[in-house]
Amino acid sequence: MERKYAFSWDLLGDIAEGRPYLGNATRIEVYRLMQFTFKDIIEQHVGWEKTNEIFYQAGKLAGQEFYQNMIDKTDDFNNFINQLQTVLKELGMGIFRVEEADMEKGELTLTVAEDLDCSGLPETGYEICTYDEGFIAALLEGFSGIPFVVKETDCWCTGDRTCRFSAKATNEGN
Amino acid sequence: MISKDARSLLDYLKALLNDVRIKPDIPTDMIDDEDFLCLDKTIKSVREAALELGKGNLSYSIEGKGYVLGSLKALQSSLRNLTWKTKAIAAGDFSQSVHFLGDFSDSFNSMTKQLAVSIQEIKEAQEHFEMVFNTIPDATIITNFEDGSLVAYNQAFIETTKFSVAELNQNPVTIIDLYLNIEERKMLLEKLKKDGYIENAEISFLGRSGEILTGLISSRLIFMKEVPHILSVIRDITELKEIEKKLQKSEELHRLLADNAADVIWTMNLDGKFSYISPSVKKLRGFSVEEVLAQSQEEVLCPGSLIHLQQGLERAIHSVQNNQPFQVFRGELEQPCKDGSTVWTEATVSGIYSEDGRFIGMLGVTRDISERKIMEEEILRLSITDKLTQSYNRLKLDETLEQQFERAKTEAIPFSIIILDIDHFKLVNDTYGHQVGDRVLIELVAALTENVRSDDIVGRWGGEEFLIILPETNLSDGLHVAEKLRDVVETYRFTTAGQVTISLGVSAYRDDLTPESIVSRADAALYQAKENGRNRVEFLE
Ligand SMILES: [Zn+2]
Repeated sequence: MERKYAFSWDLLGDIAEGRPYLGNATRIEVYRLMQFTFKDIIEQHVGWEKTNEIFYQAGKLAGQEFYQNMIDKTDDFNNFINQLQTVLKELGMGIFRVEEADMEKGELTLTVAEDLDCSGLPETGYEICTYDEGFIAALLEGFSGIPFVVKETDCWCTGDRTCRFSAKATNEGN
Repeated sequence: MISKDARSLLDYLKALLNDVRIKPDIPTDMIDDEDFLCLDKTIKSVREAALELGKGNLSYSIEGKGYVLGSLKALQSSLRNLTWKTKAIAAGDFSQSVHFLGDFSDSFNSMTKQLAVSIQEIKEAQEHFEMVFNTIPDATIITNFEDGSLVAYNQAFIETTKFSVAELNQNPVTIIDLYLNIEERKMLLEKLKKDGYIENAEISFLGRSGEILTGLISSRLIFMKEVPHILSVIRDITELKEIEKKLQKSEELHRLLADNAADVIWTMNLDGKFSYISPSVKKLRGFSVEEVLAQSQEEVLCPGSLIHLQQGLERAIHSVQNNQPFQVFRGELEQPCKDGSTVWTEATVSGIYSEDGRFIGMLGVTRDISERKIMEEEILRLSITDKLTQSYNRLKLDETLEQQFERAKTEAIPFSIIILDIDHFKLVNDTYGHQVGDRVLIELVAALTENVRSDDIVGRWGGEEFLIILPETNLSDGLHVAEKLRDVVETYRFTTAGQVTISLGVSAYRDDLTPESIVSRADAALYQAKENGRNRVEFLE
């Protein structure tokens, strides 16, 4: 298939050059407006489940690129988490925390408070942070070299105050 | 006023929130109300979650959704994250900090920081200790007090024992195996128990291949995790011991040699006092070692030799003061013996230096050369003696003539000479044979020598011709001596040959003469004596 949208980090552009007055900041509404309108249209084309699948995969691609471009390589898990915490906070993406982590077993419980995607959203009764799920899965894989499956168990949209993710290493791809 | 149904509903909800026990029954007319059932479930979930959180059970899985439950979950999440961070800190990750729990965050973070500083200080202290431990030039170990297992060791221990680190890692060594005599360890442990320390105790221990090493061990009792251990520093003195032993052996050997040598071996300080002298001195001089060590320089050497010692000492002191090497001295010395006689010795003296080049003293070897001296004198005597007559030979006569001439010239002391010849000696030889002739010569010399002064020199001038040198004698005195000798010979009865006469020519020193002309004048006088009838004395005017 001929590709026109193949992602590369360069596509984010030279923001300092391109936005000398407005700079790097934009409003969260704009980000959410884009994400939820995408979801609307894509769902109409491929259905709810497929839409979630697409957003999970997009999140994963974002996570891979993010890991490559924003995280210094390290073997130390705590150092990796600290970096992630700092950079996610700096970029205003959320407050990332570890609740439990057992890298030997490949089981983690992570939370993101003030999540970019869902914090403050009306209750919908179902978790919506599929993009985050993919994003976190790719970061963990980047660090450990092992594929992860990430599932959101609590979300603002289900009435909780933080998004809680459960991550499990898989043998998939081995 | 509210209805009875509403009252029972309120009572149920009140109990649900406030009472320890929940009313068992949901009000009957609410049993099918979905909203009520949902509310009932949420409140029960909140009760359970609050109860478990209150108990500190963070792993409790909070069921249900909604604002209050969500907040409880957020609290649970914070506490769980706090637990994770605490674990990370406990594992040594001091980069962790907390920012979501208000005042608690500050206290927690400052505690972490303090902990990090303390741990860092401990780590630095430990590193410092390890650095010191490892760089101590002596073997340093920490062993378990009870079983002797080796807990820590430094590089010097490896070098001393020749174990490799890999070996020690693979087969842990207990210090008990390294003791040559386990009783030594028992004694050390007793002392450690009693005093808490050991200082420089000498022990024998084994290296990797069983070689026996000697060490000075200093130990302290220390506690690691409340278990008694011993910190020991062991100075390897094996080599030192070896050298000491060798030194002792070589000293003994040297002493043995010196004590038994025929030569006298001695050492002396720059003040001229013996510091050692071998017992062989007794054989040489009759004095014991103790007597010699107490003797003054004057008692050690005869006056003529004393000057050599004094000059030698002066040179030695000069050399030492000017950092010049000690000049080896060799000389012949005459030394007094206990029986009043003297003995001629040859001494060879060299300097003794310490390992760092410092002058310590003098080392001398003294050898008895009296026999050599006698030989030398004999050789000297033979060189100036006529073999047949044992009178002086031509060499000695020439020498003496020269000396007397010089003396007369410089000191104006006169001397005379007599040249004499046996009359008709050829006839004696022809009549009685050469042996009798020789006998006549010998007896003549004896008669002449007997009748001159001891200072006068009688020598064979050649054939049957003799020359007599008379020091401090003028011509007239010389003539008297000559006449006396003529008379002595004339009256002497020679063995076999009987009467033999001599003719004599006399001359004396005059400042216009040379030694040669003095002799030729005497010769000419002798010729005249022969001409004038033999058995007479003549001189030239
Ligand atoms: Zn969410």
